[in-house]
Amino acid sequence: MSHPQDLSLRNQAAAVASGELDAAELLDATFARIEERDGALNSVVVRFPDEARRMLADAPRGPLHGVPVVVKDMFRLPWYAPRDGAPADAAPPGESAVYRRLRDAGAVIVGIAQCHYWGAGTTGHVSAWGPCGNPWNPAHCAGGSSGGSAAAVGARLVAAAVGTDGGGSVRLPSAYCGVTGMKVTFGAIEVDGYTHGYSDMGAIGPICRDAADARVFGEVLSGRALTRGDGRRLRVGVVRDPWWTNLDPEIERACDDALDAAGWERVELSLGGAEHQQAAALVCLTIQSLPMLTADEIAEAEPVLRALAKFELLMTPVIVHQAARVRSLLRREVARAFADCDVLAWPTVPAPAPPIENPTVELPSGRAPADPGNLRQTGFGNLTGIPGISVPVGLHSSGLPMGLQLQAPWSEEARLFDAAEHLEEATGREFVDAEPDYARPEAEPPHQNAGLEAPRSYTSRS
Amino acid sequence: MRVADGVYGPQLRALVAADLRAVWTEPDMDPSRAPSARFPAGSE
Repeated sequence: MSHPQDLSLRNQAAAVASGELDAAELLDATFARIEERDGALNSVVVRFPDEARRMLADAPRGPLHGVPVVVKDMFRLPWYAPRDGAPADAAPPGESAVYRRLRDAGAVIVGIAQCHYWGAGTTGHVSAWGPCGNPWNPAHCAGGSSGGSAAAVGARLVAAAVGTDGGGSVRLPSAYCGVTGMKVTFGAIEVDGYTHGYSDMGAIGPICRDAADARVFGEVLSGRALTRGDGRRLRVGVVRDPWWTNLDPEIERACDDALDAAGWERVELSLGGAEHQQAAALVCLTIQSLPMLTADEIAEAEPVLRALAKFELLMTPVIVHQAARVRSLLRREVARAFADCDVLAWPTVPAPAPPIENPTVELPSGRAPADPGNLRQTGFGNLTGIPGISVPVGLHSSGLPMGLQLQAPWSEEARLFDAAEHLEEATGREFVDAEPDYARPEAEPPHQNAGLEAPRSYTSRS
Repeated sequence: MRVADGVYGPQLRALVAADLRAVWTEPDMDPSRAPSARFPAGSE
């Protein structure tokens, strides 16, 4: 047998259940692979060899019995206090709903995945843990804020990772790292013990190598069946402005080609309020997250985020109410649009993952920071609450992955998995089965953030 | 601050200036489901 972490999530689970694969050997092999490959990435920033063995010893015969997974640094575990990618604890240790779902399914949590500082960025290059490298080129960003989760899956350290998505933080790093990631409908996965559970923008989501694995993991996390249907005959809504404008030409072509390959009927649409959706998403994210930070935390934060927080503190009540009006308008507009189409489709990111040393992207409008363009592509799903999935659809000439985002009406996660599986089949699984060259000579560890603690070892508090 | 304003400022100012008088907010907004039909969208 090849390395067990080259197996899909569902094949790992089946092999353990049948006795073909010993769960303890799978766990040892997983830690060995993390040790072997993660030095160049910094994706699994805390590892739990003792707690993982305890979880395995106590694991019930659930659907993921004995299968190793990682969770983002935003969930309480009985032995771990999440930090949100910042130097201090954001919540005490405890049982999050995600922990209970994983435990009851028999899964084994092997570590914590790196997270952008406060979860407030789409690149993952700013974090108390240090930046996270992209499996396809560790000198480039893994994305954010669930960069560690996407990189760990992309590098085949684990077959499944839990991410969170307040403005695109599951979908964006999934696109950067060439994996499949879903933001579920708001509230479809219980937020108890999730450090941003106060927000009505944030949702939790599975990150896996392909849609079939993500469906299995999504079922475990949500506790409901996401029954397989037929994704072949869908009407796909295409909203050109703003989501198909100002894109890297290769990304635009790859996403367009993927829709052609799928053979879906295209419906051209427009959505009222779309021109203000990026600003509305920024305002809604800001007004919900800033009150959770103390003045001291802002004063001591990483310099770029400190400046951004001070800028955001100057927002007026008028803009907050304007954003609420845009949000309501977009929700009505998308509900209307879904009368004419089954899914919406546009590129997940406007450009491939930028370099860690200079996280800017080249767009037709010029060179720009990655965050604004990324938020433009994904904030809509958080404002409206609808589910969205990023599916790998190609490799850029830079060697970095490209992703297509599909979105469906509220609670229609199964439809998105159907669509994604059909897309995989229509493209011969070329992009979900693609694998980075781990032996590339230029693979260097990402640089650590100067002046911030980067704790890599953890002392259990249980 | 100036950099942040350069990146986000123009769109935030456009949002402030937008004429959204005809749009009513959802008093029962729940992002886990579609908008309720109980309240009018406004006068648009």
